[in-house]
Amino acid sequence: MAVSTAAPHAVTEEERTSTGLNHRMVLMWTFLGSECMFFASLIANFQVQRGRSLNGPYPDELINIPFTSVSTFSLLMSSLMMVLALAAIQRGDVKGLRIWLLATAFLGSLFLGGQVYEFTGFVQHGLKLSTNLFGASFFVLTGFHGTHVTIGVIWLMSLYFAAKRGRIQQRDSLSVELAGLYWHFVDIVWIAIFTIVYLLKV
Amino acid sequence: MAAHVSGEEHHPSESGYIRVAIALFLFTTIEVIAFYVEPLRLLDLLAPILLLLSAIKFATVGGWYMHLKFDSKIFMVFFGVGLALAATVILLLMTLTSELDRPGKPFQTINTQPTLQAVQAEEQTKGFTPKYDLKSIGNVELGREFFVSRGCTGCHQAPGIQGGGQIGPNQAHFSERPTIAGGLLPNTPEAVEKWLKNPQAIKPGTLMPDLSLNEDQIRDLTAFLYSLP
Repeated sequence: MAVSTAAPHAVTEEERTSTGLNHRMVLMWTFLGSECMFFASLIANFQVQRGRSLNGPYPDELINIPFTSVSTFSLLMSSLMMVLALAAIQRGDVKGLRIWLLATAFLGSLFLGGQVYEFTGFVQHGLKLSTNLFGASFFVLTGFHGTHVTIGVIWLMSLYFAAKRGRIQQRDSLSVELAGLYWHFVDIVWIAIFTIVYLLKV
Repeated sequence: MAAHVSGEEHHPSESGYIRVAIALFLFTTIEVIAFYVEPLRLLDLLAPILLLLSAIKFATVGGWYMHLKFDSKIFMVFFGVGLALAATVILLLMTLTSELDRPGKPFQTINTQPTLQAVQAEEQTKGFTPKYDLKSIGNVELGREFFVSRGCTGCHQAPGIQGGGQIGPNQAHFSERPTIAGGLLPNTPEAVEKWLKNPQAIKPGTLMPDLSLNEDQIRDLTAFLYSLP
C-alpha cells in the first residue's frame, strides 16, 4: 500500500484556520449536511403523498424492481470506482486515477440512462408530473436526484480531462476527494430513495 | 477490515474498499430478495428489515468511502446535524399527517371546531327550507368540506364559502334551478349525483372536470348543494 505522503487535509502555510481543517473540506461537508435537508424535504413530501393519488397510474402498475435494482447496483459500484480513483491519485498514480474516474462516470451514466428509460416508460403509461400526487412527488424527488448524478458525471469528466492534461498530480488529491464526497453522497441518497420509493411501495 | 489506528490519514486499503463494496452488494441483494418474500410483507417485517439494511448501507458508505470514520469528527458533526434535522423533518411531517398510523388515508381534520365558513353558512341558511330531506341524501358538512378541499371553489362560488371562481355557475339558490349540466339534466338529486360521477360522459368537452369522487363523497356534495340558500 502507498506510503502516507503529506496529509491531504493538513493546512498549508498560507491557509489559516481556527479548526486546523482544510476550508474546502469543511465547505463540502457543510454543503452535504444542507443537501441532507434538501432531500429530506422531498422524501418527506413523497412519504406524505404516498397512496393518496385519486387517479392512476399508481406505483404498483409502473415500478419495475428488477430493472431499478440493476441501476442501483451500477450506482453502488460506481462508488467503489470512485474510492479506487482517490486511492490511485493519493499514491501518485495519474493513469490509475483516469481509468477509475472514467469507470465511475461510466457507471453513473449507466444509472442516468436507466432513469431516462424509466421516466420515458412512465410518461408513455400516462404518468406525468401533473397526473397525480404520485407523479408529482416521484418525478420531483427522483428528478432532483438524477440532476445531482448528472452534475456529478460532469464534475468527474472535468477531473478526467484535467488529469489527462497533467493538471492533477498527487498533491492535488484533495480535488478528487471533494468530488468523491459529492459522488458518495449522491449514492447514499439513492440508497434511501431506492428503499423508500421502490421497495417500500406497499 | 484491517485494524485502523485512530488518526486522520489511516484510510482503508484498496482491498478494504473492495470488501466494503462486496458487503454493499450483498446487502442490496438481500433487500431485493426480501422484497419478494411474501411472508415478510404479511408479518409487517419488510419495512423494518429494509430500513435497517439501508441504514447500514448508508453508514457504511459514509464511514468508509467518505472516510467519516477516520477523518476529523467535525465533519461528522456538520453532516450529522444536517442528517438529524433531515430525519426529524421527515418523521414530524409524517406524524403530523398521520402517515405513520393511518398510511394512505385521507388527511384527518385536525380542527374539530366549526369553521368560520360553517358558521357563516349557518347564518345565511336561516329561514331557508331545503327542497329535499338532506339527511337522506348525504352529509352536508362533509360536502361543504369537499367543496373547498376538492377545489370546487376554483371555479364555483357558493353562499357561505369565501372566495370562489367565476368559471362555473354560482351555486346560490341551487335547488331553485330547473336544470343542471348546462340544461342537459333535470335538477334532481339523482341527476346531480350522475353528473358529479362523470361530467365528461354526460357533456363531452365540458369545463367541469372528472373529480374522481367516491359514492359517499358524491352524496355528501349533492346534499351540500341542495342545502344552499
